Amino acid sequence: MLVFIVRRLFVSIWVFFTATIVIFFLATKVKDPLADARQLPDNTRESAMAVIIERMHLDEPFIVRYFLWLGDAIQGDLGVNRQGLSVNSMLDAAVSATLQLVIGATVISIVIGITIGVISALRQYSALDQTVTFVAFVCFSLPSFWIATLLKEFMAIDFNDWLADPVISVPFIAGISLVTALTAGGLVVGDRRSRLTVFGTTLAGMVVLLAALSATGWFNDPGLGPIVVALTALGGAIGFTVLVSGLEWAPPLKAALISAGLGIVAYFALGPVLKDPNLLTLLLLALVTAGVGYGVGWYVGGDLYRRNAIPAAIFTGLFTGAVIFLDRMLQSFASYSDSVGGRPISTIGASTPNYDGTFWQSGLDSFGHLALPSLALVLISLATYSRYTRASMLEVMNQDYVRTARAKGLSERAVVTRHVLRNGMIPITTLVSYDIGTVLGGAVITEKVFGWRAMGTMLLEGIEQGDPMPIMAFFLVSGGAIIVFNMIADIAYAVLDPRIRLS
Amino acid sequence: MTRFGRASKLGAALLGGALVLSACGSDSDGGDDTDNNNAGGGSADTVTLAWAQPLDSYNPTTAGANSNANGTILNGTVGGFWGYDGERGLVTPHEEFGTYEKVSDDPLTVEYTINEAAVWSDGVPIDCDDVQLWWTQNSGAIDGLFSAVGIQGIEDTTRPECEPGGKSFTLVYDTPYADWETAGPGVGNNKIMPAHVVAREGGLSDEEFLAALLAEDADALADAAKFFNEGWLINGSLPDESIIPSSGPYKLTGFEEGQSVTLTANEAYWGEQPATKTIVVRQVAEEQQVQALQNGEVDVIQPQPTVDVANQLEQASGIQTHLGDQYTYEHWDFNFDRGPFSESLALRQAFALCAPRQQIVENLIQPIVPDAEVKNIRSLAPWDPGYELGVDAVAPVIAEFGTTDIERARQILEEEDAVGTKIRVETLDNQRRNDSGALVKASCDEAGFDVEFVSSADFFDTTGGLSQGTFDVAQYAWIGSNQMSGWNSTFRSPAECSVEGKGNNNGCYSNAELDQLLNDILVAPNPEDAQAIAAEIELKLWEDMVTIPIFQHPGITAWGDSVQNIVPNPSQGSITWNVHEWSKG
Repeated sequence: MLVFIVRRLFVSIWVFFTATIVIFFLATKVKDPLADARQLPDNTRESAMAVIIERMHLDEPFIVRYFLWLGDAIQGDLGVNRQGLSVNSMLDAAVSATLQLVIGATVISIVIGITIGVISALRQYSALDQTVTFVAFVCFSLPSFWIATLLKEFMAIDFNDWLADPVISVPFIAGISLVTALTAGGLVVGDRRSRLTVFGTTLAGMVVLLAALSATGWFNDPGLGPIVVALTALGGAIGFTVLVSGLEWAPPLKAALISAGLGIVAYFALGPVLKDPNLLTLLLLALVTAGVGYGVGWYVGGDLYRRNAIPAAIFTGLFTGAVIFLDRMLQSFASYSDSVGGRPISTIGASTPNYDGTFWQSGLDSFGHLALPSLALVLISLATYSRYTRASMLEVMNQDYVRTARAKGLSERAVVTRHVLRNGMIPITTLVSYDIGTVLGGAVITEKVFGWRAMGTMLLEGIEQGDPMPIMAFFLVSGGAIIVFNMIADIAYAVLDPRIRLS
Repeated sequence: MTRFGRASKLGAALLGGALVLSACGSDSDGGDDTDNNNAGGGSADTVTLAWAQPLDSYNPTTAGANSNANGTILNGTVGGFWGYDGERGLVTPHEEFGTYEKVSDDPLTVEYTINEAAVWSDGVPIDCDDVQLWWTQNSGAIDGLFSAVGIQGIEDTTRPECEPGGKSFTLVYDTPYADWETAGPGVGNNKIMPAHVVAREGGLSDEEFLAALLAEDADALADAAKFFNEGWLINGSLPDESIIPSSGPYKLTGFEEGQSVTLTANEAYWGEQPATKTIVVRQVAEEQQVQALQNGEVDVIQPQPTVDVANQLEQASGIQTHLGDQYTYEHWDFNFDRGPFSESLALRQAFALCAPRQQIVENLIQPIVPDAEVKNIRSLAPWDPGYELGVDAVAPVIAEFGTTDIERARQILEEEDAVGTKIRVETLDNQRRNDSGALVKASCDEAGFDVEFVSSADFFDTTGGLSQGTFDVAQYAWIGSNQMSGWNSTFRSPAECSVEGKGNNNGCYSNAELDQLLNDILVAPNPEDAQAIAAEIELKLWEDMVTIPIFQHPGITAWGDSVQNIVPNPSQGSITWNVHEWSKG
C-alpha cells in the first residue's frame, strides 16, 4: 500500500504541475485585465492602466509571468490580485467560507440521501419509492439560481412576513397533515389495515398538533419543554435499541433507557451551564455524554450484551443531548427574532453584521443565514446519493449470501443492517470521498445568489477580471483536494473491500 | 418483518404524541433570554446600504484604488472643501470643512482656509502638512512618487506655501483652468489624506516628512510613498485603527471580508454629529438586492436598472423607488479612419436619419424610466448648467436629422449612389445593446444600408473591435462628468490613429477648429463662457456628425419606508453624498 501511495503521489505531482502551466496560460488569455481601466475618463485612464500593467507584469511574456508566479507560490506567496490585495488572505477567507457553507450541506445530503436511498430500496416499487424517485429527480433537474430565488421568496420573505402573525390557514394544515400521514402510511409494512391505522392516527395527530401550535402562537416563541424533551429521549432510546440489537433482549434497552434518563436529569441539572455556553463547553459535554454512555453500556450490558448495549447507550445519550440543544435554540428564538427586526431567515450573507448575542442567539443567526443556501444545495444533491444508495442496496439484496442469511433464520433487521447495508455502502464511500474533494471547488451559483464570498466567487472574479492569481490559488486548492481525495477513495475502497488489492 | 413493522408503529405513535405535547411545553418556558438586545439589521440606529463591489482600499486617491465602491463606501469618512451634492450632483462648497475663494483671474489664484476646529478622528489637526502631501501627490511632483488618480489641474499650479500647523494656503495656476473648483481638495478621489500617518509609517517625524516634501527628496520619502500607495489596501481585515483616521462625520470601524463594512459616528468630528450612529454597507450582488431589501436585511439599494428590477420594485410593498438618470450616456461613434463613413458626411447623415433613436428609448429605456427622452447633447447631462444653451444651439441640426426618417435616409443613399453599402455596427455583448442593434439593423436595412451587427465580449479589449477600429459604427457609453476636462480628449485630434495613440477618440475624428474650441473651454475664465463654448462644440459635433448620442443611462434607487433623507445623486458623489443625514425611524 505504501508503494501505491508513493507512486500515486509522484505521478500526481507531475500531472498537477503540468496542469498549472495549462491553467496559467488559459488564465492569462481569458480576458483583457485592462478592459475596465480603458473605459475610465481620459484624465485618469493612463495612470490606472500603468498601475495594473506593473502589478500584473503585463509587459512580460506569459512564460516569465508563470515562473514569477511559480517562484512565489513555492515559497507560499500566492501574489496579489489586480487590485493589489493579497491572494493569500483572500484564499483564507474563501476556504473558511466554503467550509462553512458547503460542508454542512454535504453532510446533510449524505445522511438524508443515504437514508432515503435505503428506505426506498427496502420498499422497492412502492408508492413511497416512486414518489421519492420523482421528487429527487425534480430537485436534481432544478436550476440552482431559480430554486434559490424561489426559496428566498417563499422561505425567507413570505415566511418572515408570516411570522409576524403565525396563524396556519386551514388548507395548509390539511395539506401538511395529509403529506405527513401518507409518508407515515407508506413507511409501514403490513396489511392494508395497519397502514390505514397509521395513516389515520398520523393525520389526526398532525391536524390537532398544527391547530394547537397555530392557536397558541407557538411559532413566535417556540420551545419543547421538559415533557416533550423527556418523551423524545425515551422514544430515541427505543429507536436506537431497535436499530442496534432489536427489542427482544433486555440489557441493551435498559442501557439506552438509563442513558435517556440521565439525559433528562441533565436537562434540569445543567440549566445554568447552558444559559450562555461556548462551543468548547458543548463539545466537552458531548464527550462526557459519550463516556457516560460507554460506562452505562459496559455495566448494564454485562459480558454477553456489551457489544450492543454500549452503542445503544451512547447514541441515545447523544441524541438526548441534541434534543436538549434544539430546545435551547428554540427558547432563544423569540429574543433573536426580536433583535433582527422580526425577520430571522436571511437571504444574503453569512451573518448579521456586528451581531453580538448569546451562544444560542449567534447560533440562530448562523442558522438563519445558512438555512436557505444549505437547503438549495441539499435539494440538488439529494438525488445523487439516494439513487446511488438505492441501486447499490438493491444489488446487494439480490446476492446469494443475503438469501442465505434469510434462510438461516436471521431477523430482517439483522439481514438489513449487518449484511445488506454494510456491503451496499462500499461504492457510496467512493462517491462521498470524491464529493468531498470537489466540495472545496465551492458552489459558484449558490454562493453568488446568497451573497457568500467563497471559493467559487474567487474563481469567478478572477475570470471576470482576467486575473490569473486568484484563478491559480483556486486551482491549487481545489485541484489539490481532488487529487488527494481521489487517492483516499481508492485506499478506502481497498480497506473496506478485502477483495481489492492496490499494488 | 413483523417486528420491524411493530417498532415503526410504536415509533410513529410516540413521535406523534411527543409533537402534540410540545404545544403545551413551550408556553411554560422561554422568554428568559431577553436581556441581550443589540444592534442587528432591524435596529433603529443602523442604516444598511447594499453595494455589489467590495471596499478594497482606504485610499481611493491612488490610480489603482479609484473605484466607485471605495468612493461610495468611504464618503462619510471624508471631509473636503466641496462635494457633488444634492439631487443634481452639483459642485457645492462644504463650509464645515473650510472655505475657498477665487481672488484673481490672472493668474488664476484661489485661497483656501481650513476650519480652525478641523481635526482627524485621532485628534491631530488637519493642516499644512496634509495640504503639502495632497499637493505633492496631485501635482505629480517627484515623478509621481505618490500615486494619484490622474491629471486634474493641480500639475499647473505652484506649490502652495504654508506654515507648519497653518490652516490656510493659496493655489496659483500657471494657466487659466475652467475646472479650478473641482481641482481643489474635495470629497472623493482627490481628498486630503492624513500626512501624520504617512510620515509615521514611512519612519519619519512630522517635521522630517514636511521638510522632505518641501525639498522633494525622493529618497527620504521612498518608504512613506510606498505606504501611501499600498499601505491602505484592505487585505482581509481592517488596518489598525491608528492608520485610518477619518476627517468626516463617520469613521471606518468594521470590515468582514466579503460581507460588510461598518462606519460608526466619529466623536471627534467638529461639525454636527450624523443622524444615525452606525452605517453598514453589506456586499450584495446586484440581482439579489431587491429581495434583500424586501426581507429587511438592507435599507437602501441601487442596483443596475433592468426592466426586471423595475417590475420587482413596483410590485413590492413598503418600498420607495426613485427613477432617474445617471451621468453615463449611450452613443454611436463613426469610424473616421476607414470605411464608408470616414469620407462622407452625407452617409453619416443618412445613418443618423435611419437609426431609430426614439424607438430604442421607447422599447428599452422607458419600461424602466417612463419619462426618458432621446439625448441630443453629448457632454452635458440634462441637469447640468448650460444644458439648455446647448439644446438651443443644436436645434437646427436636430430639426433636420434628429428624428428617424427612413424615406429621407433612402433618398440620400440614392443620391450618393450608395444603396447597399455594407456597414459594420459593433458593440459589447449585452442584452440591451443586442436589442438596440437589432432595431438599428431593421431600420437601416430598410433605408438601404446593409447592416452587419456584431456584439462581442472583448469589445473593449486591446484586441477588440473598439481599439482595433474594425467598426464603422461603434455603440458604447461614456461616463459623463460635469468637469469640462472630463470629456475633452474624446473629440480632440489624435496624434496617430493607433491603439495607443488615439486615446478616447476611438473613431479618430480630427478637426483643427474643434481642437481650438476644446483648448478654449479648458481655460475659460468663468462657467458662463465655458457653457457657451460647450454649446458651440456640440453644434460642431452635430454639423459634422461626429457621434450620435442616444440616451442617458437610467438609474434606480430604492429604500425601505422607514428610512429618511435618501437623495439619489447622479454624479460620482454617489448615493452616499449625504450619508450623515440618513436616518431610520
